[in-house]
Amino acid sequence: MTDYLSYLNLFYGIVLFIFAIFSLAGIYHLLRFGFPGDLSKFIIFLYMTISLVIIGGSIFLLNLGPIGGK
Amino acid sequence: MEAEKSYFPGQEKDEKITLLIRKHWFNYIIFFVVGILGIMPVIGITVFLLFSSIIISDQIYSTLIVLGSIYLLFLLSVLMIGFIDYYLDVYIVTDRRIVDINQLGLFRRSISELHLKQVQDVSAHVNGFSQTMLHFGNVFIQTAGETPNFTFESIPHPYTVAKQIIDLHERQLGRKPRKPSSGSITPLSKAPENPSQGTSFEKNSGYQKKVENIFVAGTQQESGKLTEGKETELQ
Repeated sequence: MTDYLSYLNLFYGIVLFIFAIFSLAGIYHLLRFGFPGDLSKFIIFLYMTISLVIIGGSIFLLNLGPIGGK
Repeated sequence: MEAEKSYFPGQEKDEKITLLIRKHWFNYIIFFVVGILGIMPVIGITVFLLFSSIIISDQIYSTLIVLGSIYLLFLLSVLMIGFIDYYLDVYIVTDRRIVDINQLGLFRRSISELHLKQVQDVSAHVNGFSQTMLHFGNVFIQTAGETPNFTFESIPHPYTVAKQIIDLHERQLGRKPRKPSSGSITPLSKAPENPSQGTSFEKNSGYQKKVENIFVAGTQQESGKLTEGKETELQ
């Protein structure tokens, strides 16, 4: 069982790494090709906030364990 | 002091941006719908697990959390790609040329330009209920020779944009832009029966303010300049 959770965590780590690379590419595009005064920076802020909430929330819930008990 | 950012590659120092146009906000509604529909299953499963008496093992719990998180991150990525694809598609009209910047996904971007002197005909088209009610549509720019035609798709206030391009074209040719005798602007796609009357939409007193929304980018100073330049033509 510990093995399964280790693999699951490893898999999640890899996905997060790929997501981080993709996010950097997206943010780069908005910073590079956005114009002054447009929505680019707001969208970057929103995107990063939502991403951090999802990732942080999932890590928190993984540490918390099942709500209904084991 | 921050260096002045050029709006497109090859922009000359004394080249003035007259119009910077993005697609109408109506085109972005699809992202909102996809976002809402996409998040529904996650909310549904979470609510079901919270309020049901099912006891799940550590293994299933962790798997659900990881899969749910991956799904939400994937959804966010799709929305981000869609937004970049739409939002970085920009049409720029300067006092010399028309530039069409087309972003396709993350790694494809094409920029095509057309000199104002090459413009032969400009027409604005508003089709359907949503375009009529929300004042957006397409502008077709026909060019001379073998140069490909330009199309501005789903842009706000297509008639005004078409008129602006025609005026800039006339200026490039050294002619004085035409001024409507009664102060109204006639739509370009269809000649009205009485040219001095224009349409009620164009005569709206709040129209000038709406037109200013076209200039979405640039500093306050830049948009101020653009408005000043326009007033003489629109009034």
